Amino acid sequence: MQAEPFDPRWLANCALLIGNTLRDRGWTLSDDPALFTPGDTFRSRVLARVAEWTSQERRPLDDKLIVDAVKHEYSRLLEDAIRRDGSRVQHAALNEAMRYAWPIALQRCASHDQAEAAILRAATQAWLHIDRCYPGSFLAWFSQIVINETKDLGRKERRVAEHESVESDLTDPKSSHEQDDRSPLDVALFVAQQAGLPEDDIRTVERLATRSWLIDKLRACLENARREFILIGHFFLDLNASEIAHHLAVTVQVVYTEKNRAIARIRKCCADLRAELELILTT
Amino acid sequence: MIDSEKNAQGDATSQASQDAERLRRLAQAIDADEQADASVCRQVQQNLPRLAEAELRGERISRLFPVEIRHMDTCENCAMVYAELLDALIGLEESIGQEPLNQPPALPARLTVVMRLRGWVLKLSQEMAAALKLADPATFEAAAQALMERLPALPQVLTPRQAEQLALGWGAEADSARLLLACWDTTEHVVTAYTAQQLDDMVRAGRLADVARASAKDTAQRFKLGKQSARFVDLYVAQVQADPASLASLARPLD
Repeated sequence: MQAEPFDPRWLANCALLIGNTLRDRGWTLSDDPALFTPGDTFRSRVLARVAEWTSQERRPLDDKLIVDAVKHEYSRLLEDAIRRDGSRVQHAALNEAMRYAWPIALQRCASHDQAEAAILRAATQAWLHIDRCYPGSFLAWFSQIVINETKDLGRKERRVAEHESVESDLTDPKSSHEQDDRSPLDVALFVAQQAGLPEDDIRTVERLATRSWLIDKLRACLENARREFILIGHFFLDLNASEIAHHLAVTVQVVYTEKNRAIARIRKCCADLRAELELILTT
Repeated sequence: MIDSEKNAQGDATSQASQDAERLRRLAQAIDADEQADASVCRQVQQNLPRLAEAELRGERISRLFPVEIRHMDTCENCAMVYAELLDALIGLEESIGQEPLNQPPALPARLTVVMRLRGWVLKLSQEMAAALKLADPATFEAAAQALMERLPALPQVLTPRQAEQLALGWGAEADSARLLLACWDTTEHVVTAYTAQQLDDMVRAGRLADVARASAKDTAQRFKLGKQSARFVDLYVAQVQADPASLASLARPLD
């Protein structure tokens, strides 16, 4: 959806997108009168959030921005409802939160009973500790509680095994781009452009990389194009781990595991790199 | 300690110092080979849902949350906690529109009752504790919090042994904990033994205080409140006499 913001056509598309986002997620509290004062609507809150984000953060006015604003405002709505002790909306909000995060409990628990126990414990924790939730991040906060509860209830330790198995299965970004002969640095710069990073930032990193021996030394030390790509993306281009993971078609946990392994490898085998870094920093 | 001002200044850093900062981050990550401070980990982990929310809506989190990101560059545990949360949230987004194989449980009726009663019982028991000079409010709040955490899993009518165990579990302020439990037990009994309509009728007929007295006496006996029994019953009944409608309203189903 690309149009002039807040013109009638844009507003109509926006209303449609808000409705679809709510319906797809089964969120029903957005038009509950108990949660709004006269003249206040969920739609007006979303539009205000969109206006704030586009002006302060200079984000492009696209569909993702609207969907993100809906999720952000709905998080606030759930949080508000959960604070209202003994009310119908509190009851409904906790049930919606449990429905939202239920796949997390199901996926992480060894049995259905354990998943039920985890999600109910998480709902109790969310109710009791709602003051610890930062406005707008309720859904992520509640998901974190559910993850913690599944761990407490004795989740199978699958994480290490998962990472070990993907280690050999993963495609190397270098090999997947061999046909166009791009280095991990080139791939990282390309991903940064795709992610909408400012051109100045990208050029600075490019200059830094070609000016110094740093990238060569990283490459020689790591001997692994994927880890090189992750380090360049993470440390030099400020790419988010989820963007790197998306590009590599792996989980974020794999990205962090690989990054940690790369750091460990550098620590072990490349004392020169540290000296090179020092040299650049002092000049 | 996490310095939130450093986060706020993230965007203002000049380009040159940002370059140096990037290299310094890598150097610090290579240098770091120590166990992270657990208190810093706790603070960082409390902020992870904020980071995840910002990251998934496309923010540059290394600029918005430089302190947390620097910590995770050197603390593998926090980084993996964050990665696990992100993966879970990405998975949830990807599964939008797909019906799960089965539905989550509904909130248990007991928890719904507990949610309705919390404010009323906490306020009353704090007032009682003050009248009986039992505990400072902060301790009382903590005891109440601990009780709520366990209550949904406990049977509706606590045995004296269970009450004693709960109270002892809270340590030195066992008397105030016992008082809180007694308030809770009495109130839950009244609002679950009768319907909202029956309680409303009792309010109109001026009989609710009698019902509350009988329930409070029963609790005091079961919980072996000893010399505080009579005072507990009197204070409870006085509260109900002062505002009977508020107790009756606790039995009302969700509107």
